[in-house]
Amino acid sequence: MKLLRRSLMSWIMLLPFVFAVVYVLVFADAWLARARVFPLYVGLVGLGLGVAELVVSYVRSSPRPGNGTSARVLDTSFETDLPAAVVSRRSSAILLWLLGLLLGCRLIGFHLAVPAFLALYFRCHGRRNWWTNTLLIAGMWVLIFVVLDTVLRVPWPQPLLQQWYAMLF
Amino acid sequence: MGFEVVMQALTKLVEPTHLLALTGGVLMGLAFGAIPGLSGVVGMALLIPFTFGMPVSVALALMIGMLSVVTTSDTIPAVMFGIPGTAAAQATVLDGHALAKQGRAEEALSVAFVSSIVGGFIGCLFLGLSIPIIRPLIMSIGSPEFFMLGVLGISMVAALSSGNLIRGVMAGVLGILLAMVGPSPQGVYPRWAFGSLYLYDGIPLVPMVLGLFAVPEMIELYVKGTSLSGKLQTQLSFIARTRAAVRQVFRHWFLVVRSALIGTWVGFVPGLGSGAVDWFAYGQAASTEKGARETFGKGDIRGVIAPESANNAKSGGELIPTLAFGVPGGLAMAIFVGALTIHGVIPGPDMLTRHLDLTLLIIWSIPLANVIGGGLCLLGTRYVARLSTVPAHYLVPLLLSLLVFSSFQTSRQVGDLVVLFVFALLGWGMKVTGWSRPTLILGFVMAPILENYFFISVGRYGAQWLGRPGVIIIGLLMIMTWLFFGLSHFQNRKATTAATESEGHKL
Repeated sequence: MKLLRRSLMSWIMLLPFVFAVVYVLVFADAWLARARVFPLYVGLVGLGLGVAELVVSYVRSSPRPGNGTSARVLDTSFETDLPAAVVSRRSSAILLWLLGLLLGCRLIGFHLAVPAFLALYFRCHGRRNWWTNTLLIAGMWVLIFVVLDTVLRVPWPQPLLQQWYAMLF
Repeated sequence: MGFEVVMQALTKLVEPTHLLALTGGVLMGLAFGAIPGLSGVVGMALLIPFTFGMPVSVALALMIGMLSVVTTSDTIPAVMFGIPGTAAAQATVLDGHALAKQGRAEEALSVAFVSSIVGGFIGCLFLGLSIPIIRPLIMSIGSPEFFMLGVLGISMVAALSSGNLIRGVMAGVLGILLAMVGPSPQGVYPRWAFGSLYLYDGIPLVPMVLGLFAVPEMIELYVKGTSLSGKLQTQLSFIARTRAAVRQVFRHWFLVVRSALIGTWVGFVPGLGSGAVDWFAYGQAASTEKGARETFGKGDIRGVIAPESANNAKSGGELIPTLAFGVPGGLAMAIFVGALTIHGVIPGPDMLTRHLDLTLLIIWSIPLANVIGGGLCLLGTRYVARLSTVPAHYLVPLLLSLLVFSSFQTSRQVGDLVVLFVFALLGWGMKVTGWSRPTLILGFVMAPILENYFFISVGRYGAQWLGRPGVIIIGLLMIMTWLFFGLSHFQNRKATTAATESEGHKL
């Protein structure tokens, strides 16, 4: 079952590759000649590799060493004893936290979104040491203010809520 | 005349103002390296206005001090959190972070800093030695050979990745295709922009790398719900720690020299830049070191030594074309050339005649900056290493916030945040399913350079570029690499199947 899930995930990971290769082979024809030559060659190589991968995975009977065994090098692997359901639930949760932070930054701006995100995160994860939490939130805010605002003068985008408010009134 | 110039440069080197400026530059460089998203480029851009009123030698000391050590402190976030401080620390993440997870952060950091110092020395040595002989060497290598070297680099990393050759190359191809987003280098024609102004500039590297490597580490930390490592394995004094690190580095001296030479070479080829140097060094270490295929990526100290020696040696390599021809080896070097010009020093042949004293001053300032920077980092290692015991519920939200800033800092557009999230999803998926992220990044970094060299090769030589001796030799080397890894992969599979079958018989 675990192997089946892993294979399914692996096939899903093929999607960006398939999309990129198909797109380049179908649409690159409309580009200027000098702009399309190299992508077309690479796309053709990609197509060949995709077909080879399909054939190899069809004829292969045993699990490949690439998936989580000792033959895998040049990247870090994810290994845990936790049940797959827990891993899926927790990884989805943290990705949602990240998405929330990014949306918050766009809606209310970095200066408010980051402290709000930190406070909410600490609250939701049941940590009641308010002194430490407040100190960390203040430290992060100071970092934004000193490094990004004062030294680097980062031009923060205007928060969407502020833009909408300005349009209304 | 020669001796006088040497003495003049030496006298300037030990002047208190020069040393003070060098230390100031080093401190800035360490800060810019340690904060992900900032880099030598940002540092140089900020530094230049302050150097206008300074004497040339002092301004040079500040700039060289900064440029030399950015790749020393970028190791800290790479080892501690799996977040590369700059593009040159991507490969350090693999084994450095794995060591930190085992509670060996102190060892990983100390060895990385000592490797950086030694790598910086070697790069500088080659800078000094190569300046008189560099011109004929450059003339003998053409675009076709550079193109083939780039393909060889990608294919080597692909061959080593995931134990699955086809998927390794596919990841590299995906990286190349992703790099096609944005303006074509031939005629500035927008490709794959989907009508988005943001994509007209292409996908920026920093949010992509942070999404692919750093966010998945945060997800893993959150999923496991513990600190990075339970407790630190070693708590040595500064002297003992440094001595142990020096011993480790000198035990692997041949690897250090090889990696530093690769770093010098990558720095020397204009355009290859920081994104590729550590992968090339890591790739060669993984393919040549004994037992590396089993231990690399799981916390092997040699996987830290190789990229760290290489990325510091790169500074010396980058300065070779910058000083000798006025051709900057990278973006930070382009700004450096601009700064030199502002101060009335035009990089090029004059640097070997009229400004030889400044050239020598630069050459000697690099190792000095490396020693100061590496020494300061070594002093702080014990305290930095303690970060690996901070619980995940504090570390994850703080680092996620930092990642968001670092990504936004790149091009300062909202699109950076989207890129971060999209590549975070892709990175997590690749990590879980065993697709090679390093090959994807290497393909992405190398694609514009490969495309340029490909067009120059075809335009200059037609189809005959394929018949050049250098191209044939590199091509044969590539085929041999593939055959070697294909065969060893086949043998591994056979051995695994045999072992499984014999276990089945026993049962």
